Amino acid sequence: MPIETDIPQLDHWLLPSLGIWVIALAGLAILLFLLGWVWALLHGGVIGAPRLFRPVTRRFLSRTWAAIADLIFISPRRVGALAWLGIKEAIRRRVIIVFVVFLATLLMAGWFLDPASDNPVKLYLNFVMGTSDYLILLLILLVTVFSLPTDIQKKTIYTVLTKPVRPSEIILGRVLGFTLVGTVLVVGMGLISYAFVVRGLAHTHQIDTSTLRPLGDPVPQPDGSTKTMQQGWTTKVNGHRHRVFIDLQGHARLEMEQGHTHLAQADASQEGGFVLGGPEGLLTARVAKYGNLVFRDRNGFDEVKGISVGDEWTYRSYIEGGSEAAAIWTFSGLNQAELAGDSVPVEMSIGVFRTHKGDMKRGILGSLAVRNPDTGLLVELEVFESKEFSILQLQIPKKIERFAAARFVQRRTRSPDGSVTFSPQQPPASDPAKQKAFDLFRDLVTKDGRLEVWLQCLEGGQYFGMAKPDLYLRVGEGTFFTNLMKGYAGTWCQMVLVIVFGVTLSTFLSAPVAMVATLGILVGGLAHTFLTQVAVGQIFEGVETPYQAGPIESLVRLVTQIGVMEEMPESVAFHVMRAVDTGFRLWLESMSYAIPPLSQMSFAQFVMNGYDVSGELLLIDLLRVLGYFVPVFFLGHFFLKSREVAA
Amino acid sequence: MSQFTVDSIDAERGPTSTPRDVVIETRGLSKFYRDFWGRKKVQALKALDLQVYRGEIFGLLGPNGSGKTTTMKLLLGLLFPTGGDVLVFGRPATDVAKNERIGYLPEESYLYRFLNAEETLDFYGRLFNMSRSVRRQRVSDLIEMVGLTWAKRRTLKEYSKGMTRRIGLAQALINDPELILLDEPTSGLDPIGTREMKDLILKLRDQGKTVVMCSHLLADVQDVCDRIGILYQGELKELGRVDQLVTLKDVTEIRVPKLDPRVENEIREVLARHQVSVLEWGNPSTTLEDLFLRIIRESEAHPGLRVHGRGNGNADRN
Repeated sequence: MPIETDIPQLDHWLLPSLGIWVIALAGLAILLFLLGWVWALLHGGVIGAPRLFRPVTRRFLSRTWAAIADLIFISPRRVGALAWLGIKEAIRRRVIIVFVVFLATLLMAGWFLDPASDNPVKLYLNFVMGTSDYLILLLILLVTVFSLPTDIQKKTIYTVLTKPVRPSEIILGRVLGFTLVGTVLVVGMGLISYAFVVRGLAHTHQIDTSTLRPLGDPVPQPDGSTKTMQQGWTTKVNGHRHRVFIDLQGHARLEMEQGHTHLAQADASQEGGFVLGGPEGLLTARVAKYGNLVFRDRNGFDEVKGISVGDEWTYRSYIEGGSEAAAIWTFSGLNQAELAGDSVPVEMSIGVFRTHKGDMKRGILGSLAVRNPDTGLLVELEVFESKEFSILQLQIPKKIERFAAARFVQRRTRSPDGSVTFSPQQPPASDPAKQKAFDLFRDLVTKDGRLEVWLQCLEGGQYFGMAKPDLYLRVGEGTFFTNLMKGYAGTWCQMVLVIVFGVTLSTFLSAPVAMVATLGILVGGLAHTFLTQVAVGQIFEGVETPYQAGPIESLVRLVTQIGVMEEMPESVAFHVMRAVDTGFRLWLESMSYAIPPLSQMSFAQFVMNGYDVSGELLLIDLLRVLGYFVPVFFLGHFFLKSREVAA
Repeated sequence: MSQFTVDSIDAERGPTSTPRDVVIETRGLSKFYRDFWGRKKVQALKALDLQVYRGEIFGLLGPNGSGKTTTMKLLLGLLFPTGGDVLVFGRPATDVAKNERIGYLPEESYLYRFLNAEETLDFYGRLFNMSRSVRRQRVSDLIEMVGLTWAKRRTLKEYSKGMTRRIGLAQALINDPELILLDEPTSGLDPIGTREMKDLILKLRDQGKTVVMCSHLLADVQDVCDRIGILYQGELKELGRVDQLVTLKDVTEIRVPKLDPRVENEIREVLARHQVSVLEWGNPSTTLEDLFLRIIRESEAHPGLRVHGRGNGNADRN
């Protein structure tokens, strides 16, 4: 299965995210100013507030400056000492016990995880990564939120704060210490998980000689004898068996089953016997190159989305068969060196929506084409038969000699003012239809490395559905071990954010309250996508409805039995209700920025489905950690500096 | 509101004092404790004006809840003043940089009990940004000074209260501070420990350091402090040199070696002739502390010495 989430690309992600980050910080600063006002109002009354506000503002600005100045004076030795203290404390709190819990869970799971299931790799990885993720995050949350409040409660903080230690160093030291402890946990669990999965799925078969049957006619050999190809089955292990083919040279080959095969070697001790190796291709890390997806509607105009076939899950968009509609992926940064071999493998998993049944045993036909975005040259490579729920691999040869058709195709974009732009505007001088062969990199890939891959459905009345990650160029193969570790790097990033929030919240909240607050952030972060959808009113994405998601409107509609597709009568109360709901949604939206998108930071889906976690994704995760760390760290500094720890 | 101002403090320094550097200065310092809603709950300190000079031992006296510890915490920046100013080395008490020159022994030694003595001192040394070699030397010197070399590898949770107090003192001195703030320094110590602590405080003063201590053990304060301030219900009630404050100016005491009865009678006659009434006549008693320390010293010199009870509450030692 392909990845079924939107995969961010650094160059598209960075600038908008940076913009949101700056706006969010500005919002935070305004919020703090407003809180200052409220504080002044509470303490000075309405008349005294303006007089009080000036010192509050001055204090706010001086604190901001102090926090920045503090960063200059941060002593690595002091931070190191406080980090060391954090590690000692974590060890004293017996965090190592989590390994025992993890091992015990795995031992128990060993009885229940069935290697004979349809997708044992996914089952195993889902279990180990899920378990270790929750164990690490919950454990680190508890260790983190209890640390500083315990120090304040036991007054051990007195002996620290009366040394030349800055609040920022206390926060940084804690974060660093717990991160180091967490790193040991993550690496340890990663190694245990690797051993568990590899050992749990390791198996081999034997060729069941009683099932071997001749395949085809006997072929005469130079020495006068005859030989026949054979086919049969292996023994059944882990709920599956492989079909075996033995060629005329006596080499055995096993068919893929449950996503893997086994290598067969001649058995030296037994004439005509074979020894089968361990599973090959079971634990993969496909290196995929993703492109940007746009759609072409039935009239040949570019669209951001395809059409909806009424699926509740609007992740995939559909194109209509037998029309000009197409899904166009634009890949960039392609170069010869990266794509070794004679051809470039394209892998896809296309959803199919049938408006009429047709021959259910046969897939729907589609065509794969490549196009040069600059010249408009489009070469139709081949017709394929769709396979649902599995990955279909096709090849784009570097020397294209066999192809269905070659023609000039313009992309047409409709502007908001109704005008249409064409790309490219002019056809090439030579007619591509007369060309006998094409060179992928010379004719179809632009000078800056861009290439379009077009997918069309050839059968009228049938539809193909796709999302961006459904088609990709397979540019290489990583090792499973490295990929698993990269998957755990995602967990590590989530963990660091939990630590940062936990430490900061514990600077001004008591331990139980800080725990609940951090847990709230953790849960909110893991359900971040839903939270954002609610905030921006996208629960019924793509559906025109008079209902604007909001708590009061929902309540009113529930009580008055007005359905979500029905208009509500307009009145003053109606507008007040809408205003309150909009305010709530704005608050929720701002919260969705304040809560880190932990769900998007996990790479478990990649590892489970056998996709390599790219360095780009790791970098995005690290930037996310940094993006949250900076403001939260500053907040923690303010809180701790403003707090009378001895009060 | 205290009647003691900065000027009156200078006057209290007495004729022997010379102008010295001010290490601590509070001006109209007051502190309210507030409840959750920000309402004033307790006024712990009322307009305190105080100056502490370089090289003196200053004692803050007062019953429980009089504001001693609050003053100490305000000086350290652990609490923020509600009104007035606190300056330590001429900088606001909330300035972290002042801590470079301060050593603080809290009321109870609030230390990390999962660390051992060496780790504890090394940790605090690192907080002062001391290099490894300096730390190593300083840690070993201080552990020896407080007499815990034999227990330096034991975690603090195994320490007795007195031992914890000693290691607490060692951490307060890790940076060789100019100003040492001691909150109840002798609490939890046995008489020997108390004596050693007091000797150490005097030694620190002799090294030119300034010591501020607060205690409700009056004898300890009297033994070591040069000047004292007496706090009651958050107000400064008395301030001055200990020797002057405790001197009874209308009573004369003469201490001489034991007199024989003839001389004693003569003195009585002289006093009667001058119509002086004798308030007290007899042999002075030593303090229990001195007695205890003498017995311990003798016991260490003569390990076999034991007490034989006579049945009447007294004892013979042989």
